[in-house]
Amino acid sequence: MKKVFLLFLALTAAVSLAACGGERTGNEAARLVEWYELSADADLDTSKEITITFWHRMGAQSQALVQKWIEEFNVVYPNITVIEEKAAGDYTALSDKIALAIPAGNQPDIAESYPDHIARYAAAKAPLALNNFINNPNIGLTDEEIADFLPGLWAEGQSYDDEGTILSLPFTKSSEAFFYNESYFKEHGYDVPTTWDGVFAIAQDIKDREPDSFPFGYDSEDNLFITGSKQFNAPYTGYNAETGRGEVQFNNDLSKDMVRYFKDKVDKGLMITRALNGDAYNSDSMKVANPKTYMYVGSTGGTRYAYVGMPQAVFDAGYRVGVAPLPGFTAESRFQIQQGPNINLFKSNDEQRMIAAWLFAKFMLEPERTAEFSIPSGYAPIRYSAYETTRWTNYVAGIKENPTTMDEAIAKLVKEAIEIFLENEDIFFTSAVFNQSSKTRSEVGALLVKILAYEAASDADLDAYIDEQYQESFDFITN
Amino acid sequence: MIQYMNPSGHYRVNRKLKEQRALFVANKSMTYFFLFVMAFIVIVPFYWMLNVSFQSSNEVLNSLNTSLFPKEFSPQNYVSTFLYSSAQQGGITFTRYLSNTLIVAIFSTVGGTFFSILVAFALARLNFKGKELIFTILLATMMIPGEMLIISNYITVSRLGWVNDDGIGSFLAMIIPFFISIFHIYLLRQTFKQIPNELYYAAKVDGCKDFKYLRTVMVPMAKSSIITIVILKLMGAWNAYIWPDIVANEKYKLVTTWLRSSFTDQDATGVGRVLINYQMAATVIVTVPLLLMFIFFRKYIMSGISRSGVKG
Amino acid sequence: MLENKIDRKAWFYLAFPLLLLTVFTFYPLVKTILISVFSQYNPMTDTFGSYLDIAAYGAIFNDPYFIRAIGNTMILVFVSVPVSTGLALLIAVALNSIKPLQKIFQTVFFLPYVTNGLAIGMVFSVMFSHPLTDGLMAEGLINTLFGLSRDWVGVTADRSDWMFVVLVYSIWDGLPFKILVFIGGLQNISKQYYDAAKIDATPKRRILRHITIPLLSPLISYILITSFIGAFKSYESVLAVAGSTGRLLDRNRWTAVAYVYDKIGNVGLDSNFVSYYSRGAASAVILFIIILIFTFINLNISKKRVHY
Repeated sequence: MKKVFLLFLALTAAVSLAACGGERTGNEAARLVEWYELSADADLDTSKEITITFWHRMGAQSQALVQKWIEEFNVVYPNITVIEEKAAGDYTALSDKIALAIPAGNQPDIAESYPDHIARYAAAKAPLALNNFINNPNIGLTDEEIADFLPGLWAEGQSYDDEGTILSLPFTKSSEAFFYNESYFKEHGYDVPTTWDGVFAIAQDIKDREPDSFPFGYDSEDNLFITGSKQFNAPYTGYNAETGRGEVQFNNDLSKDMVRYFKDKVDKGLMITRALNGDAYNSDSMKVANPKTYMYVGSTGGTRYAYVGMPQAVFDAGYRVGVAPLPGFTAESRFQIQQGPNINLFKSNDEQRMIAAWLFAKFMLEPERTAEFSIPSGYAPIRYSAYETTRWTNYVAGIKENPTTMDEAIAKLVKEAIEIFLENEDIFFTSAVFNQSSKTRSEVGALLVKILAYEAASDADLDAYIDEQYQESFDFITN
Repeated sequence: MIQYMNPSGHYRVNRKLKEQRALFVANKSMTYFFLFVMAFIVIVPFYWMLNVSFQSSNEVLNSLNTSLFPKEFSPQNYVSTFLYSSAQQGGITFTRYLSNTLIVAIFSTVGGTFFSILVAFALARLNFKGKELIFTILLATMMIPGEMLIISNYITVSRLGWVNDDGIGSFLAMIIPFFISIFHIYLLRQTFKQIPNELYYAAKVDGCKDFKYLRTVMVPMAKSSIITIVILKLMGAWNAYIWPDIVANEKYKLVTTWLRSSFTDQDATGVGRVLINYQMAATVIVTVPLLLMFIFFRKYIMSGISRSGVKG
Repeated sequence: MLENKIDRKAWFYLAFPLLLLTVFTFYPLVKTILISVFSQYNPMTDTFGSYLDIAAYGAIFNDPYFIRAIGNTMILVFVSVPVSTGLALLIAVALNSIKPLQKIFQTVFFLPYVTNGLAIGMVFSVMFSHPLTDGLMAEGLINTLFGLSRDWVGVTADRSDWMFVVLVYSIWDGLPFKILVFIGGLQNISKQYYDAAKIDATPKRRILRHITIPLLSPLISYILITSFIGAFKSYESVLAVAGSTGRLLDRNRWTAVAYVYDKIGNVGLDSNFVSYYSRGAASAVILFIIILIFTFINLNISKKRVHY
């Protein structure tokens, strides 16, 4: 025992002595990942047998679809074998698994990912920069095709640095939406609000009528902070002018004003969030016989839950849900966050593998297929022309305007939620992606909850608390 | 041992006996009361699991629900849980998950117990240089948080070519790295140390080899600890999730993977809510065998082993 | 004479297990130590970088959350382990002394092992929940029973409140294993001793203190030492009970291991150009040293108190 201890002491001493001074630096290049130099005449070598792997976390339905696509792909490119694998149950586990695989050299060729995950992979320069693949005359995308992608979604693939490095492609997208009790609104003559003041005017009216209610709910506090910042024009994260890298910027007065706006509404009992409600979903408070909530902002991926789980009696009594884009602080500042997975490619030593992976990725993103993927899943297709395919138009034609069963009502609502993407191309935004971006996101959510839950003795007390918490959060992230 | 012998007269003994009896009854009731309270506290989560497993999907999809008893009693959940299996992951069925888990559990348990016995024996009985040092270093292996081991071991296992292997490699990856548990070795060592030295020396004098002594004398005498270890190892292999999920190929994953990543409502690419009623039903299905196993083995642990053999 | 003979064949018994342990436990441990002194280690490329110094240690000792994490861990260790062990001992002894219903009770105390962790978490949250906004959801069970309106584990909870709930959970969680081991040990105690004590009409407490505990002392020492080590590594239990949505733990509630995991999950360098991963490794090493010291102390005490 003693020997082990002494040995350790000796080691420590030796190491401390070795700690020479010298400047510590962490210099980084302007581009997060150097663009892979694909020569202009590069093309797939059709004589070679190539195998590529695709890791995802899709459920049975979507996975079956991918398997069907692989068969179709093989008709066009018989020499490429695509192995798809459900590598994990959720995105975090998937990202962790890839992060483990990269140092071991086991990473796949294509993976589903979120932008924050790519920042992580980029620490090993593992993701493949697609710029030269997209521009390649043989196998790339034409300008028309690029313009066919919904612009906000395309831009997300470039949010990694200030140089336009494209590290991911949109795969299937969701966002948030403003869901409201359509029947109740009709009954009381409310118009669908386009500004937050409009929302809370309606909320106040409802509160006067039903004092026990919390008329408006917002599911995700993270999104509330980020979306609110964008709408209020308060910096949240951005790119540093010198280094071109992302950085945290939310510790400013505009941001605090934005938070104060919502805090005021929470204190008046007009608004509630999940964390303040024991983690219950707002849709669950709305779809009951005695609703406590009449409007909420929730994910479009969860559109079905506006109806699912509702007692049949409530539905038969005429309860219907409407959906609209998010309100803004002004009618012009209606921004909302885009979510949903992307796909990214990984660098490989074999250029043919990268080309094969690129071709498959391109194949999956063709209009027919992105439409085919969206319809059952409730996520939005990523290209304009997808909305014009026969598949899509048939789907739309099959939706009943006046649903009589719950399934019909759900189908109608899902279609309307997806169409928000089509009709409002300018409102979607993404945030800068960098090492701390995912930490920042969860941190501001927690920060917001703390402030909203705080019982202030006075305005000055609240201000002091807000300043203190902001500073603490900021220090924690940047330390 | 004879310290408490009290050679006073009958009178005192009689009174003492009466007191004893009264105390005895009071003691027994207290004991029962105490046990009932503790048992109740312990049962509550298990009851909750059963409660949720019989609730209907409508109930659990409404996140405001916290009822003590299912409003819509749905035993069909158990059937649906079986059906859920083949549709979901990698096309393999529930029975396949089960057989994977059985293979891993049996090999880990048998092999691990065998080596635990050997090492505990060496640490308890044999004399060799550095015995204390080895024991301390072995203890030290318990002091590292799990995540740090995972990252390094993943690379090692990957270099061995076992990761994601569509074959026996997956099993090796799941079994070998955490095969040896000092936790269990330590328990056995303590038990072995309680077996008197004299028996060992007597055997040695009779020319008995170490291994034979281990097999014929020590193992039977330490039976209850060994059974405890077998149960613990089985439970460990049965409940292991993080490591097997990372290293095994899709087709070789274990029941815990099935338990945790299936059962989302209609798979809406990530936002689907987990159907906890199915998840709880699945847990009950999966853990009932463990409970039965415990009940079966219990009588082997509980049968006392008299430690006669050495007098005085 | 026999006692001093050195058994070289001991190494036969130890060879294979030691090999496995070396590859899968010592090597990672050594690597962790190395990472902690190469303060720009990159986990994604598995390269050590060129800075060999103790900047990572400096960084964590300057980090108030690290100190707080160690503090939280200490409280957990020194309260939950003794209480859980004592309780388990009493239960095991009680179980051993009753004849009817004994089998049922034994099975009941094994149940936590086979209960889904989610279910346990749900029960605790139902019991200790508290709505942050009035009027929507009801108070949890404990609040209702005692007429309180306390935030036990939520965002606005005081340290003493959530720590209390975590302790209750940890004690509860550790019971089955300890009871199982003690029951096994109690069965081994020769009936001779108990019968002799009965003849002498020895009171129960005396039996406990002078017969049961000394004869169980090797197992008690085992349980204490292994439980201490386990408690120092607490993480899942705190996360389950005092964590918020999305499986996050507020940084003021971190245990030492929570701190480690948070740091190694971060990519890149902090504001002093020290790799987060190295900081995580450094904190793991410090935790390791703390556990080592306490185990050492424990072992020494055991040497005097344990009777084989």
